[in-house]
Amino acid sequence: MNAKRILSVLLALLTVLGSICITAYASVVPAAAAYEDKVDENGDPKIDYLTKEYKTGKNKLKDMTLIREQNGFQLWYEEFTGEVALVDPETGEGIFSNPYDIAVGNYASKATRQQLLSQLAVTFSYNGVEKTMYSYTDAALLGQINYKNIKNGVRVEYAIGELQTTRLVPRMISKTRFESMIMNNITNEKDLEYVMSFYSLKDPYDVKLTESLVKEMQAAFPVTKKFAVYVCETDISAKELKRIEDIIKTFCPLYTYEEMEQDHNDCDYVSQDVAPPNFKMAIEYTINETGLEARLPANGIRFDESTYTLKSITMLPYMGSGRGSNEGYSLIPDGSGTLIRFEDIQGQTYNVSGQMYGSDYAYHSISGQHTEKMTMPVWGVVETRETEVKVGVGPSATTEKVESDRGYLAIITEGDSMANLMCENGGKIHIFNNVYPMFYPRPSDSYNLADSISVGSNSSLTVTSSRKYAGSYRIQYILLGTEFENGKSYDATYVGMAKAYQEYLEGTGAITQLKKEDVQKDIPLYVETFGAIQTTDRVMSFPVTVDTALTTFEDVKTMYNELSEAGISNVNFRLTGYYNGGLNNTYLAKLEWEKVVGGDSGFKDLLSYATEKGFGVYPDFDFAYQRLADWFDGVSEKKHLVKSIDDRYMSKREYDAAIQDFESAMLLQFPQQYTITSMLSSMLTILLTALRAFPYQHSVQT
Amino acid sequence: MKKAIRVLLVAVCLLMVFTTPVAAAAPYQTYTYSSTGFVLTSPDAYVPDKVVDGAIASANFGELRDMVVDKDGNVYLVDATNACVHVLNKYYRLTRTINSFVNEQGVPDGFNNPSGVFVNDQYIYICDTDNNRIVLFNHDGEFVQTVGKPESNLFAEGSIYKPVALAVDSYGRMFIVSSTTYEGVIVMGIDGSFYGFIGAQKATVTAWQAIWKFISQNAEDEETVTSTEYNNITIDKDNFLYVTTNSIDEAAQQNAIMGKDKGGTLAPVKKLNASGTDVMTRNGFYPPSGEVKVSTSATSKIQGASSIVDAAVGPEGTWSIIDDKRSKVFTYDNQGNLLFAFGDTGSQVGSISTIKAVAYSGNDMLLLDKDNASFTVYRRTEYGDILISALESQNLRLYDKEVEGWTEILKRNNNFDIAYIGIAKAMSRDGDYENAMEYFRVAYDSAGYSDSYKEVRKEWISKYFLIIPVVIIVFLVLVLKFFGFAGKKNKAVSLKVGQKSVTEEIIYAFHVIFHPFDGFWDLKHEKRGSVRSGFLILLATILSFFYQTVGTGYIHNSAELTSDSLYLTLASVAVPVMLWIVANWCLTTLFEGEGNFSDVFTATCYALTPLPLVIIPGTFCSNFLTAEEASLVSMLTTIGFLWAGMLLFFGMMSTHGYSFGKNIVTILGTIVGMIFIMFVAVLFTTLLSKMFTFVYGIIDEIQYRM
Repeated sequence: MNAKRILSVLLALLTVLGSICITAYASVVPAAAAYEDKVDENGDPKIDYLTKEYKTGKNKLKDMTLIREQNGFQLWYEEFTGEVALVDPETGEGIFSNPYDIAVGNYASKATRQQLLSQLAVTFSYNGVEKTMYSYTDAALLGQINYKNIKNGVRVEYAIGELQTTRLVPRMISKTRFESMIMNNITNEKDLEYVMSFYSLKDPYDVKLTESLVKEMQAAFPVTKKFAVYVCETDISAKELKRIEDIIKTFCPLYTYEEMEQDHNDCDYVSQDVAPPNFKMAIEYTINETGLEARLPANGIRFDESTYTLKSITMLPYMGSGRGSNEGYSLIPDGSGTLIRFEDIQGQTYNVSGQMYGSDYAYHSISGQHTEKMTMPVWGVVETRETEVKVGVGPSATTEKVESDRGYLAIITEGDSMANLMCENGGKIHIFNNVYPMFYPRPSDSYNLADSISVGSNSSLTVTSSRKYAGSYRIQYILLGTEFENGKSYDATYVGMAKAYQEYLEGTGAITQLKKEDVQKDIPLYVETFGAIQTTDRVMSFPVTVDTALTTFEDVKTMYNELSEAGISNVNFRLTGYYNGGLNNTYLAKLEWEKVVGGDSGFKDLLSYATEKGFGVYPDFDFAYQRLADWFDGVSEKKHLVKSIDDRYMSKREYDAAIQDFESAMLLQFPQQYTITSMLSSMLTILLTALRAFPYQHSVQT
Repeated sequence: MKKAIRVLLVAVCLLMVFTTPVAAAAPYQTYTYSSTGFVLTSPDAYVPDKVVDGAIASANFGELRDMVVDKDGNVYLVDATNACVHVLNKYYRLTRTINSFVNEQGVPDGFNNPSGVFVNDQYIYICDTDNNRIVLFNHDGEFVQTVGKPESNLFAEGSIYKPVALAVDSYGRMFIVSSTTYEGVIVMGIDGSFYGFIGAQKATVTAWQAIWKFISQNAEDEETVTSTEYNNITIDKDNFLYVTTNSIDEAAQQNAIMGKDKGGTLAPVKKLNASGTDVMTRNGFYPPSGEVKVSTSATSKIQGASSIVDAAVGPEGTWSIIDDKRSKVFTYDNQGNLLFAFGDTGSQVGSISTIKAVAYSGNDMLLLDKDNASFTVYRRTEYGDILISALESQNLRLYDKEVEGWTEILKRNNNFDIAYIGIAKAMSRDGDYENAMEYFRVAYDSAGYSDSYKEVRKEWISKYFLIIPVVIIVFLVLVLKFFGFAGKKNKAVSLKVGQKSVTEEIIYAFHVIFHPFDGFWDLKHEKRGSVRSGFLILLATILSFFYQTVGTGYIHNSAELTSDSLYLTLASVAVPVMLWIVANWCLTTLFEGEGNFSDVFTATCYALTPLPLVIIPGTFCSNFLTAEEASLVSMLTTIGFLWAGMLLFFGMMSTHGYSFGKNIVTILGTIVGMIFIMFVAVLFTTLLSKMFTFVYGIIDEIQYRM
């Protein structure tokens, strides 16, 4: 008895505590509206997101929920679509994860608008067929987007694709049981009608049926030889199943999962459903000083790996998109950087894409045109938008249209090497222009099977890396044209973007500002010289391969002398191809200066001369590539060479202007730590001399 | 392969040196070819300046088919979609659109699928393709007249006339390319009178087709041979026509390029004179037919020979052709030397998706991009300017200025062989033959080298005139003395009984070559020779061929020597000899031949004796002979081979004791036998290598999987 009393007290306490917790939670998020508020009783959104016109960001925010205010920014969230916006409370403008004005003057189709409302697109393959799912159609419309408050922001969880849950809906049930357990219990006329619309009766004793029809039925449903059954429609959607389940649960409390199992067994029903594709992942948005950080933890991605192959994840494809009808431009890090002006490409569907940092030479085939590399993990969009600003106070206040420049700079701060950068200009498809990353969590490569012995055909096989990326994809969005809490701001121009990136790099310690004493009056001149190369020569009229010097150490001295005579004093030489075979070097296991360029003594001589005269000499050592194999160079192909996804040795490919394709250029290998260390110790003395000869601070990077 | 890598590396280095400053400007690499077919990177001669599309020209561009530029810089664009010709001024702004007119009958008329345009001082000529006519306008855009299909019984019955391109010479004759006419270029006056066809493109027949035709002997099969037609035409100021075609069999076209064919049959671009004769000079390393290094791999996106679709005449005798497969432009001088090639597909400014036409506008080059409905203006660089000015000086015979220009070119591109040749020619004109030889040699111009060498030799001969007869006399005396000695020795040895020494056996060869009948008889029956001396003679022959390989003068063998060429020489001598011996022995054993294997070997080797005797002096002399005198050496060598062949014939006859007729039969049989052995050997090695690759593949595969 006592025990029971204690238990009940505890339970009561727990209830009280629980309610306090809920209240406390609610106080943090005062307007914590739920997903349920956004949908009607049918599960359809109350707002027609595809056609509702929001002329300004402020209008859009009226339908969103304020999640957090911090650093002078407001973070807003839309419960149905999963949209997120970071705005400056003063202007109501900021960065929206999806354009708020998709319905304003946009000619995009319904499917395109659904894509424009997505924060994620997942491309996967099933049985070799690739398919892409978008978060709006495959998560929002299914009610599979949830959010949680986290420190400094919000975590939006997606389940993209239909969830496979066993619903309490019998797929096949005998007529008698269906009638007694379910049909008779549903008292609501409307609900019964709804349920019955999905069930069809298969009754062999039906007098209206002809003999052939009965036979046909018995062939399709063998159980009907024994008794009549009700069969549920096979292509019933998840939403419909949920609604039927709700009805059954409400009206037939006696019908349980065990009962359903029993019915399925009785009817010999075996589920033939393949688990539908479903990808669970989350994006965490956090506010920081300069804007918003979005992070997608890669190890939190869950899906049925035995059935589906995840190809790529497109993250926030329309975050901060520019309107093509406005003035503005996109910046992409293509080569030295490219600005694509909206007005130049208005109405044209113009897409540029590129792998971050260029091609991966560990791939079998490197295709594509001669393009510039995506050199830095940054991009941005700037545009001039018309906003309405209230002028005056009180009833005499009027609104005036003011043009203001807005934009953002995005930096991939994690997972950049797995990214493909896409620059999309809607053109004829939609009105927006944006740049976004596409991440490949597991690199996959295909190779031609004709190369291997097992088959003679020309078919290719796709191999996926066995390693999985366990980090995150992290993007920092820096707002331009907005004053931050600390009073700083970046202009909404490409100069502002450059400034923002510079300060970001400075913050990470990647670059440091030069001090006044570091800046020299003399601009340094860098000269790259080439050492030796093999040529064919005739010795006693017989062809032999000999090393030929291109620029000897003595030549370097002469070059310096002539340059200094001409009044150029701050000269630095980068010596390329001076050791182990020259420009076609073998692996650097042991350093041997080429004899034809002056040899060991020649280099020492050059160093002492450089120290005396005060010019820089930077020998260039290549630890990553070897062009020629040598006996006893300590290179084990198996151990050191870079291998492709199917363990074949790979070489660096270079673009051949004549055949317009990538051609193998040289062997590629890992810079093995131990080889470098051993090499360094063996030539420590010589390097130390070299370092002393450098007039400026220089670090040997290994 | 090593060499390829090396050359590539040098090229890469040069690329770094030269093109870094402009790398951002042009999304392509400009290059030329070396004499051995390596790509040599070059500074850009043209860099993209701007892209002119409909928006910039303030016009509505549809499918653009053709583009020409008149002497005032106006651009004429043929638009098939809008059935019109856009006329842009030299600032690339639309000034006029010619799309409709009132024809001779006073009826409003328009174009139907126009494809080509030509402009001269008088008229604008428009190919109204699907209306089968040419329409003439004056420069105010007013309609002048239409010229319909020419009436002539030379046209095949029911033939269709579809003019796609035309050119008009300074006499007003129209040269029309019709896409459905295979007889050549149609020549007609603007009054519609037909003058004839010129420059019919010969139908190309692949080797297989030729064999099939030969075997089948069936008249119907002639239909399978495809005729080729021209696709474009342009004219230079001297009324020479440049016609292009892309319907030559691709493999045949590429083989002609790789074979350095100087003929025009398989050339996709021809320079025709008014009577239709191909007068193109093809003096470059490779014929001016577009891309040289092409991929044949099934996985490459661009394969096979160039598809040439348009030509344009540039300044100073240069001309350019475009390849619509590669989106590239190849520019040549009037000698057919490749000056530069550039272009690539892609989306950057300067890349072209589908190239359709090329035109020169002053110093600029215009390339039409069909896919993007735009054209790109390329600006000539400093390098291009120097190149053209050097060619100008060459054409004007301002030699000093020309050398200056080439020197400037070499400062920027030291792989440019035409510059070396230009300088070498100037040097030889100045009498500096020794240096000229060096420059010619660097540029792989063995003809120029030979001419300079001739002068150097002339000087030398005039200096040492007396030495030459002395050397010849001494040489002849020594030869006579040697043969006298050999004759005496051989006579003495004939009396000797028993084993002969090696020297005696070898000296006997000098008897055999002059007295084959009794010589070979004694060789076998009197044991005047043996296998060991035969082997020594074979060795001497091989060594003399080695000497020929490495020691022939540069003029007569300009190919670069590699270590492989020695192995090739060894194989080309030893393998046929051994095959002969084996095949002959096998056959004669069956045909009652008296000689055994060692007899056949010895006799064959002795028959080779004349070869070293002619090859060694011939090779030595080749170092002092010019290109015109090369026939001397080759005649000497031919004599040697005939002599050896004759010896072989009589040697076999005496060795086997055959009659003349039977000997002929067995020798023919031996040749068949050799072919048979070769066939079996090839079959065997192929099978073996297949097996080897299979086993190797398995091991490889296992290794990868471990």
